[in-house]
Amino acid sequence: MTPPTIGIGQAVLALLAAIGFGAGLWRLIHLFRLMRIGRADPERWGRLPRRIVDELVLYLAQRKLFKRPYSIRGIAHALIFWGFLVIVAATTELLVSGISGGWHLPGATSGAFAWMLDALSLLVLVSIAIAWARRLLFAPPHMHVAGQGYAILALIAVLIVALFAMEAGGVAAGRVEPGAAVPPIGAALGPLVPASVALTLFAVGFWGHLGSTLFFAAWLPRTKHLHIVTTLPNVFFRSPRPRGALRPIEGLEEQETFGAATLRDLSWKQHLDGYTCTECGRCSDNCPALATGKPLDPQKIVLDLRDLLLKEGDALLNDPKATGTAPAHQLATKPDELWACTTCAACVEQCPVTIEHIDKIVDMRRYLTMQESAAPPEAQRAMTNIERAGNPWGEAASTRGDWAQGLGVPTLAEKPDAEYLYFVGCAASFDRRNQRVAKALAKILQAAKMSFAILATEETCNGDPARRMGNEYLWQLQAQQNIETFGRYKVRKIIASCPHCFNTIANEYPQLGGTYEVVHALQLVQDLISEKKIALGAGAAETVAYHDPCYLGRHNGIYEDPRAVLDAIDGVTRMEIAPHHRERGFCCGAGGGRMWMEEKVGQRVNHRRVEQILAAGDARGERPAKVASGCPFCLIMLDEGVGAKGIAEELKPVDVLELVAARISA
Amino acid sequence: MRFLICIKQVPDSTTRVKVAPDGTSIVTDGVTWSISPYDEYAIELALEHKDTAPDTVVSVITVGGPRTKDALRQALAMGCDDATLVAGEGLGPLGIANALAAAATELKPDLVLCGKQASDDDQGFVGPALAEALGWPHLSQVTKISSSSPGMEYWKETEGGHEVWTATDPVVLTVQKSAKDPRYPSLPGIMKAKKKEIPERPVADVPDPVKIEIVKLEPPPARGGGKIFKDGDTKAHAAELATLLRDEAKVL
Amino acid sequence: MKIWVVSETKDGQLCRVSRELAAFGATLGDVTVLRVTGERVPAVAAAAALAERAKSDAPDLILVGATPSGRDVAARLAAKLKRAYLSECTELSVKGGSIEATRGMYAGKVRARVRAALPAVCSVRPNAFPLADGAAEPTITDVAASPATGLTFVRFEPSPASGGRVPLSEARVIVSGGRGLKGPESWSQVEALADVLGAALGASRAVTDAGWRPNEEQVGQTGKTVTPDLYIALGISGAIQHLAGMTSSKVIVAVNKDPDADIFKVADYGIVGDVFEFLPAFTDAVKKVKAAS
Repeated sequence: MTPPTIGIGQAVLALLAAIGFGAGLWRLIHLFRLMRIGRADPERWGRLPRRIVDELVLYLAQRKLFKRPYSIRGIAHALIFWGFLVIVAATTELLVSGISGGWHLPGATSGAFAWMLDALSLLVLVSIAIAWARRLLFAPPHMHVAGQGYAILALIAVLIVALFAMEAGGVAAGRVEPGAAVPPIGAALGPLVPASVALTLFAVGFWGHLGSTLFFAAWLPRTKHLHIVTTLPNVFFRSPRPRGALRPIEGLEEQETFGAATLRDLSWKQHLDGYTCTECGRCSDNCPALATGKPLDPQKIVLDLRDLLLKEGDALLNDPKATGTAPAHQLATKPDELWACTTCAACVEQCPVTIEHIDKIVDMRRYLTMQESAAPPEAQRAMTNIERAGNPWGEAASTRGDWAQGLGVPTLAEKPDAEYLYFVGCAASFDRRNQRVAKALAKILQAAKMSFAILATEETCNGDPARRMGNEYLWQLQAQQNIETFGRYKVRKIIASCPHCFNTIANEYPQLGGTYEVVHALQLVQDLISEKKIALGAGAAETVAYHDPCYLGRHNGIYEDPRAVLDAIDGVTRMEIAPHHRERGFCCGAGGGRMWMEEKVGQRVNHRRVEQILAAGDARGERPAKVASGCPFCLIMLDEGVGAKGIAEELKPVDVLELVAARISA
Repeated sequence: MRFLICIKQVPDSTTRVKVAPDGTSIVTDGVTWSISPYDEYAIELALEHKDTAPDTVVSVITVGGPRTKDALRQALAMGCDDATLVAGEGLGPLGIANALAAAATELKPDLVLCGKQASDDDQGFVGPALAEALGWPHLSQVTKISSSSPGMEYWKETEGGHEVWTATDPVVLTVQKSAKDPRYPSLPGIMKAKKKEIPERPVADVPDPVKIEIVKLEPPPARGGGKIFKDGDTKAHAAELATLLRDEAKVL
Repeated sequence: MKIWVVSETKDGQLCRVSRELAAFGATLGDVTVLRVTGERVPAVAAAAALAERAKSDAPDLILVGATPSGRDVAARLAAKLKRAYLSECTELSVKGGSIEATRGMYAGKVRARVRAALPAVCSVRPNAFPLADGAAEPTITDVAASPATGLTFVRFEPSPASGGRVPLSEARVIVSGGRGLKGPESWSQVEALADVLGAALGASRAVTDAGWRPNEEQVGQTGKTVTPDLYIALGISGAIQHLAGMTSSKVIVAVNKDPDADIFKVADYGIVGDVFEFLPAFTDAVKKVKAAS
């Protein structure tokens, strides 16, 4: 349509555009400068093809939006997003034609564009009405329902209504150029507009639409709607590390401070995460700590850091020597919030805009632990034990291989040419309950005639608990010790029965130069079963619930192999702990070093998990007799949980390996 | 104010001690060495005081061979200000006390602390002996120091509570475990400790009139393979157990 | 041989360990039982007074009961007299001009036989030496404490929660209860046993979490680490977090109805059975054993 700006209007529009975009850009530049207070982050660059794919899949195709249980709402958001992309095109075209006095972008007057615009705009309007109603009437528990949300939605609605008004008025006033398509809404509503007001309606709609858009452009960087701009780079620059790998600290010993001592120690990307948070609350919805009454709220962790940057960033910009508040002490409750995290990655799994919560928490823990020596006392005890005895319990290192006595399991010293190293881990080596799992695996490997050996007293803690608790230094010491031992024996293939050993050795040891073929025992056993290297005998029927260990499932994507193993056991009916299974599995509570810390607030995470197992059983009319997992810590936690609830006889926690071993004839 | 803490390096409590073939010493290969646990509590007591009075200088000292420098560095990493090694091995108990006294006289501390006993010989002698060599009074089983006017109060653990004492002269304190764990070293502390100079002084020509000889060491009982009563009358087993504990285990 | 026994009295009565030492000393030679008089006498003052007397008396062997205060005085006295000091002996014998003793080393994990030249000072564990029934009460010689030593006693601060029991971390005997005891009411029986043994009370994490027992009693990874001579685990399964707190115990006794309980793998003595049958029977048996010795 011919714009109503011909003449002085063009200059006015141009001026308004300059002011609107200028104000927005001003703010964006300020935010950019604040972001750059953060340290450099070399891992964010490189790997271009993967980043482009991420952009297409996660940003454009909105894939994470559709995750359960938010699928319907995800569709609504996707429609709003795609609709908005088209509306932006239309608005741009209106601005261009308005300032130029009638020159249209190519394709802007086509019927296809007109139909797409109007159809999507209508869908967006409907979606906004639903979104408004949802906030008002049934807001999800952790979504930030602030006035700002209502205002933004209202503004977008005004934008679209103004557009329709413009179309209706424009059609009624005959502003459609010859050869240009008539916009459908305009065609439908135009006849209803009295001729006397048509031109006025057209102009009001035009200026109203552009006016509110330009207002939005100025206001957007001050709202959480900034995410529509920052998600693009936030997804692009996401970490290339495997999810289970924490960020390494190079040259640890030469640093002046350790961990996130100031906002400058968080990386620019971590600050960008703060700008990108849409305040949807999906992370918090799925956090096991928050669900059981702990002070940890993942969304709050992200937003608090953002707020700290906005509050103190200018002081840091103006004075290169200024340090500002330590992020870990931003509030008196912050340390408690940080220590409550089990690093289960439910937050990271759910976040639609790829914010990396765990890295922030660990960076702040690193400051508390390494700089201030302020880790909880029981955690410090565990770290001291790792240092001195090579295991968090402080058991005598000289007894590490005792579990294997009399089983004919060779050590690498005795059998240096063994094909596989079975890295037993501290739990299976020392915890008497878990020693039975190690024995089960040994039995399976021997039945399959695999060439394997253990390190026994030459093995030491892989360092995972220290690293998660923020003691990067101790982790490096432990890892280097193991890597050196592996190197001496020229180890290439490693089996781990503990997902934490598996995760650290497979995903984190390469950071220190130790690269091996690492496999979790259940992956291997699944192969052995399908290759018929072991035969499983018949057995009684029983229902076994499968509990996904976080470090096997969410951190490493290993969901199917353990299930396949369970399914291969005759008589076992596998039960899912729906809806908290697979990517939505609920943590046992031991991760993140929490195994070694007291849980003083709220309900025990593992007790909640046991309740979920029972509830899932009740929902299908039959409680399982056993709950099987593939992690020694899940086993310890579930054991404590069923014991505390007095149901140790009715629901027996086991490791999948034990079920397999029981079916192998000696 | 200067606090001087006398520490001893011992096999770590998580190390399972093995008797050497000669039967009069322990195997030192593969042993993890660390500061004797009660000495760590002494360090913690001093550092806690330093937290409230940052001008306090906390010095740490040990008598031993080169390997004991690691223990001194551990103490520095926890937050002690300086460390000295009195280089000498094989001294008897009074020799150690006298060597420490000679060094302490030069360092002029206002307060001397040590753990109530070392976790290798379990004796608890050097603390009181050092006090004797210095001519100072001593207080044992101290778990807390509190500042009060005019001076400091020393809390000595006894049955049912604590006796609170003050001292007009410098005093030696031997320290008992308390509820607060010794602090874990911060990484800056560890890094600083790595670089710190630890001066060595030779053991002065000190009297060493007493020698305690180890005639024989018996290995600790292996865990597991205990007497487990499985069947039969629990009450009868209970009675038998009481007798065994008195006669066999000698713990009743 | 001239033997001194530096004794302690409680409510005017000679402590049992002092009587044991007097009886043992009598087998070696002439015994003088001494007691330093006064209230709240610091070890240095007691040692000074005794050292003064030793100048003229010249005892060959000084024996002290290995209580905390006994050890304190003995160590200072030995330093004053420049004699060998052997602490917490469980056996003693005189061979020629030397004393040989059995004592624990390495946090009590190793039994050591040591020797030192006489004259020497030894602190001796209770129950190391037998006491014959009806043995004559020895005469006590009082020694006045030496005067003020630069130390001033200010006040006594009682402990809130100990209820008159030995602090857990220093207890020689601990009776510890777990979930197998079913509920807080069972602790009256546990306390009865602890009373007879003079033991401290311990508990597993499960039991303190459930609120049956106060947190101060928790033994384990996140509770207290204990090193008693005797640890009795009642209805405790032996999860690694609990074991981490007590495996340094000299002797571990476990009672549990589950024969597969992991606690049996570290127990020196164990009974698979009903803990409620065990408790009264064992308490009785211990009473008898203690009375007899």
